[in-house]
Amino acid sequence: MSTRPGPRRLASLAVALLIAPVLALVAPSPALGHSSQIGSSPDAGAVLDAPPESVVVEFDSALLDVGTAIVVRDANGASITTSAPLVERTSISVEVDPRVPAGEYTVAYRVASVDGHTIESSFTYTVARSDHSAEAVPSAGVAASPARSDHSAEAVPPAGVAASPARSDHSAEGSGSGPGWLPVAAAVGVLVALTLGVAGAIALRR
Amino acid sequence: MTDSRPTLTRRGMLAAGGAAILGAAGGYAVGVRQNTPAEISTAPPPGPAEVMPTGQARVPAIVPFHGSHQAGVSSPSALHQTFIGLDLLEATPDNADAALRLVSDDAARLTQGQPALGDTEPELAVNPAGLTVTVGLGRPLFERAGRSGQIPPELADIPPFSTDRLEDRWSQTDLLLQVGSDDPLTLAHSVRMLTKDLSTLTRVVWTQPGFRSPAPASPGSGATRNLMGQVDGIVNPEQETFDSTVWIADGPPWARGGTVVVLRRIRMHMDEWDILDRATQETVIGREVATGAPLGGEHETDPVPFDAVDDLGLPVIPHDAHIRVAHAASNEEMILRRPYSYDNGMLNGTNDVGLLFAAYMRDPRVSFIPMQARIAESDAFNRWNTTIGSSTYVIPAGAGEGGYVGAGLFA
Ligand code: HEM
Ligand SMILES: [Cu+2]
Repeated sequence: MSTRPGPRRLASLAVALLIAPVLALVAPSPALGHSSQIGSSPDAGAVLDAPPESVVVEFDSALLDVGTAIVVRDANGASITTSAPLVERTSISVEVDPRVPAGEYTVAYRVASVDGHTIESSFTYTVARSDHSAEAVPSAGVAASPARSDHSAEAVPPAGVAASPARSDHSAEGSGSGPGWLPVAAAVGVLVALTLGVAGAIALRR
Repeated sequence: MTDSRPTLTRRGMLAAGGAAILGAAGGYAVGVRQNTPAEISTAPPPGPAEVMPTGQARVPAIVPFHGSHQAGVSSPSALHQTFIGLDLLEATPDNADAALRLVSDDAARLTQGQPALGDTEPELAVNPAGLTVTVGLGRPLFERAGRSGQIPPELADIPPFSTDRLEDRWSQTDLLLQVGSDDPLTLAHSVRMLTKDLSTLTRVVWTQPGFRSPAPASPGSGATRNLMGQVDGIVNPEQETFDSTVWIADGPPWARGGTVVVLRRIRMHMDEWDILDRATQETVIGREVATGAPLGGEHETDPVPFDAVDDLGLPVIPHDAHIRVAHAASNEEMILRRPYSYDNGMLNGTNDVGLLFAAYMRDPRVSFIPMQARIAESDAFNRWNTTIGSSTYVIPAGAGEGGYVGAGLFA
């Protein structure tokens, strides 16, 4: 699959998460490889009553803080990020401007995991209500500076800068399901099969 | 930032020597006054040797020793180079002066394919294969010889960096000899002659041999690959900025036309590096391994698209990529990199391999030090490298015919 875990992948992960405690008791699963997103705040697809002050993305395995990037943009592509990314063991977070108007916001990130793989992905959330109108918002992105180098101002260029083609960070892993959730999904499949006693579980395994 | 971005060449011609290996003397360093390949004699070395044992098409066998700059800085990088750190046994101005005369005399002969005085194996002197001998003076030499007042301001102390894990055995010495040749046998012989002749005056503290690949990184490349397989030596000063980057412009005659070398022994953690998939390795550096092209570019020589974002709006060259963090913030900050690889086989179960990072500059206070400080602070690459040795020397101006390096300093 591509480097982007799509919604289907996220849904699978949500299921996997729910079953994970059971799974841990039943089947010793192999250590998960590279990190996969297992949750976020705001949730992917969330509809919020007020703009958030920060965005957090959580992963299922430890992160390696190299090449890390996270940018939150409004529907016009302007960054509303106001801090450098904070990388913790299994999560990244960033502060965003809380005085933004209602609208759809896109979170894009790049993280590497301790197993040496890099993933890039994005998701959206919607601010349904805001005390701030579009005019009141200061020009977005001014304070945004996730970079630490001298070139910090360049690290998050204004929207509209010609985008180069995305790199496939997982080329070596071939096609097929993201290896991160595949073992989980497979294990989930087995668990479901056991529980329901349905032989048709094979269908879940691609 | 964009405005102050310095003019750097993306072909490290001067340092990489790839072109020299190909015998392409034509493209070389117009702005460099001495020791450019144009001045390098292509006459066959004396004696029975039209032999180029390395099998390289590198013709310039003899690099002049005398000139306004010492050789080994702007001359093509030899394939093999050994850095030798020495301390004076008894640090007096007289001994310092005697050592400089001795080295200069030996070097003037050996580099021209002549045996040293009293050479025990004169047959090993006939194929210099681009032999250069470069002499450097460390702060302790001045201090111990009671000449602190003559330390040029450019010979700054390199401060400790948070990422350093310096080992005493690679520490600062009084003197540096940098000896390079394409023929490892010639190199070994020259090193032995030089240190033998100095043995009544000095003691060898460490010897750091390095090598570089004779092959261009890819056809037509001006750079070669390092032990991580990366194309190394792409960005280095251009002709127009070479002199102002490298040569000391003021000070006493012995220093003017000299330079400062910062030698860092940087161990590479290959086992950990191997864990990274290729894309992540490339993210860490900011360039593709296969081509040396900057991420977002196609060719080694393409400008680095520091401002580019990918289709998710994320920076193509990450904020902590080595080339972003190391990139000279101004013309003043530029350095000339002439790195060598080292490989000592295994040590405590892992590879004892890495880079002899040798950089040459007019003044480290405004170049190497701020650059390395930035690297220590935020370079993603730090995880896979550790600097275990550090030393700094002023490389005096070259000696004129009949003169010696550092004349007028201690005499
Ligand atoms: C094991 C240690 C190191 C390795 C393997 C390494 C490798 C590389 C590579 C592959 C490149 C890109 C190609 C090129 O332009 O040559 C590069 C660029 C560069 N490196 Fe390093 N490097 C190391 C340490 C250092 C250190 C210690 C410094 C300086 C304090 C440094 C300064 C630079 C600079 C200035 C550039 C050019 C950046 C630009 O303007 O694009 N490097 N290095
Ligand atoms: Cu992966």
